[in-house]
Amino acid sequence: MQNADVIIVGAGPAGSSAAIRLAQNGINAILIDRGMPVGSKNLSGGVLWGNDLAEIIPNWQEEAPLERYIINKKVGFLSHEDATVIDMHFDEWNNFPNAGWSLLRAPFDEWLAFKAQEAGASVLSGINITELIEEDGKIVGVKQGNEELRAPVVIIAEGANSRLMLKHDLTYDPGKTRYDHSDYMIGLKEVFELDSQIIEERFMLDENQGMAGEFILGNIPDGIKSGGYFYTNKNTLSVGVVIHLDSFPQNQESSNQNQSYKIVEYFKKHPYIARLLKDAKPIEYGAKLIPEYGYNKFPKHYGNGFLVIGDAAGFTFSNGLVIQGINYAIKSGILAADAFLEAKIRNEFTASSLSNYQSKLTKSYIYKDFKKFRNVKKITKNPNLFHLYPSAINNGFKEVLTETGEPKGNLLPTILKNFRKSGANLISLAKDALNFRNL
Amino acid sequence: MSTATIEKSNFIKKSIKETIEKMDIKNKIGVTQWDTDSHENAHITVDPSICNDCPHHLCIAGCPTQCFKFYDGNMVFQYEDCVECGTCDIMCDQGSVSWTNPRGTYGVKYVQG
Repeated sequence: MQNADVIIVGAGPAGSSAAIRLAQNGINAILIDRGMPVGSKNLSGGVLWGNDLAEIIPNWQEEAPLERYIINKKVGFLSHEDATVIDMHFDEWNNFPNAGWSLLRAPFDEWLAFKAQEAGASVLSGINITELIEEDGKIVGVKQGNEELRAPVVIIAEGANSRLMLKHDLTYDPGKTRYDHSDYMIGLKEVFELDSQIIEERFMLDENQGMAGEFILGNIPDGIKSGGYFYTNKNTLSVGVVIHLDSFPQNQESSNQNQSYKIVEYFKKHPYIARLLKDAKPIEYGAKLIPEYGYNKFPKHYGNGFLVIGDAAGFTFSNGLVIQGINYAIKSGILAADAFLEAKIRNEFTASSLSNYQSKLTKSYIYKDFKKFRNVKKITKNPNLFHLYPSAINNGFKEVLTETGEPKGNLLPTILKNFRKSGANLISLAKDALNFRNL
Repeated sequence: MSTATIEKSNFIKKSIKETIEKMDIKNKIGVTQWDTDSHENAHITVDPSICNDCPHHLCIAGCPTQCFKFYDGNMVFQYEDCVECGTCDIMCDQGSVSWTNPRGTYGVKYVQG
């Protein structure tokens, strides 16, 4: 017996977007989430870029629980005590539809799941799906313990560290029982409360305007590679770090010294960041894994009776300065729903019938982004980016700009001299310059 | 740079490092909400006998809420403060950590997210 046309596991932006598109087309979809309420397991740094959601909710920017639209973008290099920060204002970002919005995932994801329900999907919260039902090489439903729900197609939208993908051998590397630390980053996050008026004065924002800052951290001990982020919400701040899991030194002494939660403190206590956090009161702390499989290590995206979307599919993109995932999640959810609708016309849900999803992905900006930036890890994991450039840039500018009573050096030679002082030789600099093609 | 500034900047760096070394993460996570399941339903189990021979203890480095601690030659684990990120599952290549999601409705409950 079929309980629905489609079962979607996970009500994040990917799963809910798929459910909305399906329900809008009269499909009987069940959307299942292990959180109660929906959204209570969901966390991210918190900026949604782009306008993919307009495909299914045209006025989402007016209706969704959003925080502030981004008008000010900062990109910075922090060394031990110094900072060089590029501060960008793009006036067009004031215009509707705005380029990006800061948001908090618990209320946002709850709203999006509510939109799915409103469109006609059944939303089940507080249910942890532990297994897919597999019969004759086909996925035909889901299981929680001994309870079953059946549908011709299951959409896996479980997020990072997906248990179902491991359990059913759908990852890049069949047979593995856990993911590789070289393919993951951990994001840690604190939310601080601060009066909206103080936020607007401190960050020079008008009402509803927001700031999104990303920083390369050159002040973290023992070669750990980490970036920091700082976003303004209505009356809160989202502050945290993202750490490459494979950059923790592999010895007991370091592990007992350099825990991920201390990296957050190194970011927050940097003099440039500390003053932005003055009087802000912590109200929540959390963490999330960020997949970074890249184009060459994507897991299966479809098969007999199933489709994979969002983080579970590996659609998280990072180039060291931005990390995007919510937009790809929404887009992949919509494309999977469309692929299902086409398969439904044929009334056939085999891998070949669902392979439409793959061709839609290939044509979309999702695959184009990942393909174009397939070698981006050469930069994002380049130790120089963290442990040489921030200090060399800061020391170079400081030397040029500090009046010492000595004759000044020229800007570029002085910065280059500081690169050499920080231990870079010309060959490694030239190699890095070549790698920047991948950015 | 004058000697005085150098001394001052070293002093600041040292004081930041000392504050961070002394921090108690357990104070910080007090603001986050949980609905904790009973011990027999713990969603992560650890076999500490394996951990003594582990060369790296990367679970300790990765865990954002200090669920792992190495005390007196023993790995001590508690699941209650877990935010279900999954980092220990990825970091442990010794076969000590067994990881699942908590039962439906249980575990961390983000209000902000």
